[in-house]
Amino acid sequence: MSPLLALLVVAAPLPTTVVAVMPPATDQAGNAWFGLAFADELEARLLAHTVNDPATNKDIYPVSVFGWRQTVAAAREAGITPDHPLTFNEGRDVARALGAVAVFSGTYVIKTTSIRLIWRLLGVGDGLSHELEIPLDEVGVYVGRIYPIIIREAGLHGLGVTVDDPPERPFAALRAYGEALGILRQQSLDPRARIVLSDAQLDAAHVLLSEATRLSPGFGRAWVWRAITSSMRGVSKRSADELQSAREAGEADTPAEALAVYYAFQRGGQPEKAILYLGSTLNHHLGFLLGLGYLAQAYMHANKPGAALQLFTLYQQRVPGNAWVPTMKAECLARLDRHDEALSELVEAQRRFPDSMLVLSGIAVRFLEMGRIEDARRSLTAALARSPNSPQLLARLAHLELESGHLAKAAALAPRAAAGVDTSRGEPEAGYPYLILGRVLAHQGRTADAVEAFETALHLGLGTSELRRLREDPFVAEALKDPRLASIK
Amino acid sequence: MITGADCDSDRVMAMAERPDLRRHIRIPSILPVDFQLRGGGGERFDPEIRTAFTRDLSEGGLRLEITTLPEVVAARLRGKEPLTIEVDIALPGRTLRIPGRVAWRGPGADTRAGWVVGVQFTDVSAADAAAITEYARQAARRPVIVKTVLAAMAVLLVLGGLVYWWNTGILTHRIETTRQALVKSEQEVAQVSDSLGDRQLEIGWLATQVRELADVLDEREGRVPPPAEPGKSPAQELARAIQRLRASILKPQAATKEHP
Repeated sequence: MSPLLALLVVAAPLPTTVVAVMPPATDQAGNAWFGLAFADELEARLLAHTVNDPATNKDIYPVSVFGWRQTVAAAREAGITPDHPLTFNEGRDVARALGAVAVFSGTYVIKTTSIRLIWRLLGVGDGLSHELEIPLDEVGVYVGRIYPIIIREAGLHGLGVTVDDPPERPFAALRAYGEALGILRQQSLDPRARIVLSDAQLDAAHVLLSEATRLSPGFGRAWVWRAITSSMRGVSKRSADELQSAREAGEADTPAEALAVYYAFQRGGQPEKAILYLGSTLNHHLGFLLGLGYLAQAYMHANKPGAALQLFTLYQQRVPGNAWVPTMKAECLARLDRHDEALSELVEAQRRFPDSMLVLSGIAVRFLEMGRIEDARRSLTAALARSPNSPQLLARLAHLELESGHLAKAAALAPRAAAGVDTSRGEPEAGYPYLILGRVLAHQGRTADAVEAFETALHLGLGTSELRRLREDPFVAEALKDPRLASIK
Repeated sequence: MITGADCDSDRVMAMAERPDLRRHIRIPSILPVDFQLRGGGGERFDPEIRTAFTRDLSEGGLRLEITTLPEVVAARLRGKEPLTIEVDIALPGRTLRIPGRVAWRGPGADTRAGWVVGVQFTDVSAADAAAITEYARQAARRPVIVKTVLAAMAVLLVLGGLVYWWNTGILTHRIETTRQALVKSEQEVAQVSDSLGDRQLEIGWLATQVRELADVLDEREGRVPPPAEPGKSPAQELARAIQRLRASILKPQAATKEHP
């Protein structure tokens, strides 16, 4: 374990309060951008308070934060459209999907000289609503008044850190920033994700962010997002300059800046530096859950499952209610050939999250790995009963049927799985259902169709374990001779 | 150099200036004239043809302004003997050669003019007289036209200025009035818009709370609360939530036994 990682793991305080930030909603046409800009500001403020005390190496506020991107994704997975303020039940569902304790939700209307915001924290306390009339140019200042209430309502008392209010920003700068976030929200921030935004969209986002920094040169996070956008566009020199400007604007060593540097290094093919930089910032911001998740996954992809396991364990300690983490821990354990422990982890997770499709799917994968086909089928069938159209589950079941020699059943499932893949955000490893479809087609002797399916799978992204299993399948050998699939070999 | 200032001819000048002695309209005009002074019987004493400029001109004669003359000629002019003269007047388009007599002579009015000589034509043909009259008429008309045009322009300018000033005043007033009306309208629109926004926000928030209540009732009755419908307006959401609430509260209850 690297000294850096050791520091991270030692620093883990228990337990933490986990807050998720849902962008406030509006019914005003064309003003949804404010919800994103506001949520981003609030997220940054809360993340600033995840900082730990260098003297004791403990969190000053034991808080962990799910950012607005993670929260919106969880809401969508729970079948909730984020175009209205959450009800108690919806807040509960979002909190459950993430493992959060409290979810910020609200609604607003932009008026001539002010913004009227009604908000509340769902999941903790009495859920009382708060109302604010925010002058247009003082959003940052007013967010500074909201987060202490969140900290208090979330049950965190104590002292703390004072974080200066951001400099007043012209409303037009915030607007340009929010509109850029509206474009970029469609793109996954995982550096391994495909860029699904067109060059024109990326350029438009960059222009808007440039407008934000022109109107407010001290707008650090706008510089950060400019740098990320430049990285996405492949303009690394410009990205480096913009990161420098971000640091000069007070974003040095903040979670947002660390994420941008991590993104730039990963896209630039320097994963070691990416890991080092993100890890260094996480040392001081253990509650930065997006970063923690990316760092753990980066260790996995760097073929260091032991280190990844440590980080996922830390993640789990901070967010015990998250069902995704045990599946990732199990994946790490399996990579370390500790299959029984992996299964135990998942069985324990299933006890705690009986409705989690992720856990059931993870158990099925482990059973498949261990050759326990019937157990795997049972888990998958149970998961599909809860989510009958999940492409990942359908693909797993098709895989299982294929391994069991039931080609017809696999052939019935695989096309359904492939058809349901969501390619809109370019999430990495979204190509698994197409990989299974390709294997089914190869087993049917339809080599040309199989090659096409594999090509799509490659385009959408595949994990290393899936590629390994593919290469071990003798039926696909003919298809893999195709030069279009050279990278699989 | 001899100048006309040496000549005593005040009497002649005075007579020439008397308006009642003139039979013709004299038009102030400056025209180049070639002339030759001669004796009273027409004998030539100056072999040269000299050039001077008219000061005024009529069909009966002209006033000639002569800058310099050689002494021999000046001496004759200074004397009191009658003199004749032949002038070539360069009118636009043609030159008239007319004989005349020196009716009076005197010094020039300024330093440039040595002599001023009044010439009375003695033999003017009808055609030449007509040409001079026509020239005089045109010359007389020209200043009138110019003056009229200038006056008209001045009047127009003044009128234009007045109209401009008037219009600018009216326009400025109108612009200011319109601007004030616009500002007021904008403020009113903003107030109405803000007020509508407030109502929209409150209805949306109320809809959320009514939905929550309906969710609680649904769960108590063992029903799964329906998800929110995307794309609905706050009013539609509220109406839907109230409908759910009404359906839960007003659903038929099982008949209770009445106690005897």
